[in-house]
Amino acid sequence: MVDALNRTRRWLRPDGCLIDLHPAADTACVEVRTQAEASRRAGLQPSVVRVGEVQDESDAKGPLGRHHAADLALDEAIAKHGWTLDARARFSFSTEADSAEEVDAYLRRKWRAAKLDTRTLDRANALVRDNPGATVRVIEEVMISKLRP
Amino acid sequence: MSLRLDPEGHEIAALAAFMPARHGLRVLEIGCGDGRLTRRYAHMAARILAIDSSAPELDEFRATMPAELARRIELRESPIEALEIPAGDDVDFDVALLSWSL
Repeated sequence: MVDALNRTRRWLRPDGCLIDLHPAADTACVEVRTQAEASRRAGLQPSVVRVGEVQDESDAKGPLGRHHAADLALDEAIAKHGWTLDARARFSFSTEADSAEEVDAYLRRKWRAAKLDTRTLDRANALVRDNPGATVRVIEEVMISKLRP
Repeated sequence: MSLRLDPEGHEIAALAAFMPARHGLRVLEIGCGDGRLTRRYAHMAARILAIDSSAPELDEFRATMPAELARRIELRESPIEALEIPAGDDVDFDVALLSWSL
């Protein structure tokens, strides 16, 4: 990872920067937001029910290990390879759909080896069925870092 | 299909805050995938070289790229470890963007 990061230096202007976005080493959670449409129309916050976590089995160390390794690579680039940390922030990234099946299909297609387990799907479906206009969300915490060469 | 990605725009807001405030930005994006993020920040850049090691993802990117962006975005199939930019090409980028790829 550090090698890949260092390779970018050769193509950067002296006053350029590297910006990295990668998920934080936290489990992505799954929520159902009930009364979503009504709440939006009324300018209210929807009720949020956490129904589970994304099951991600993308490598031997697990996704959290992979994301932690990315953190370590950035730390090493700064400590040993002359990069300077200019700024760092954290934000929430939501993947939202009207059904748990849509979210699950997207995760299976776009994430490396992720899915919603049966229990999470069942809980989400029950809430969506009982609450017209409800939405299903996966929420990831993402780190963004800006480094100078 | 009702999928919505980052409906609150937290990602692009964070990226905009970190991008240099400069006209004519040249961006090297590593791990562009299907171009989801590229399309979101492309209005900030004059030129983008977007690379990814997945041919299917790049095919999806090409198939969905708006014509007005095609003039400014060059796609290459390559992992960063194998990327070569020949001398004489425009190699001075303002930003190297690791797009969920580290």
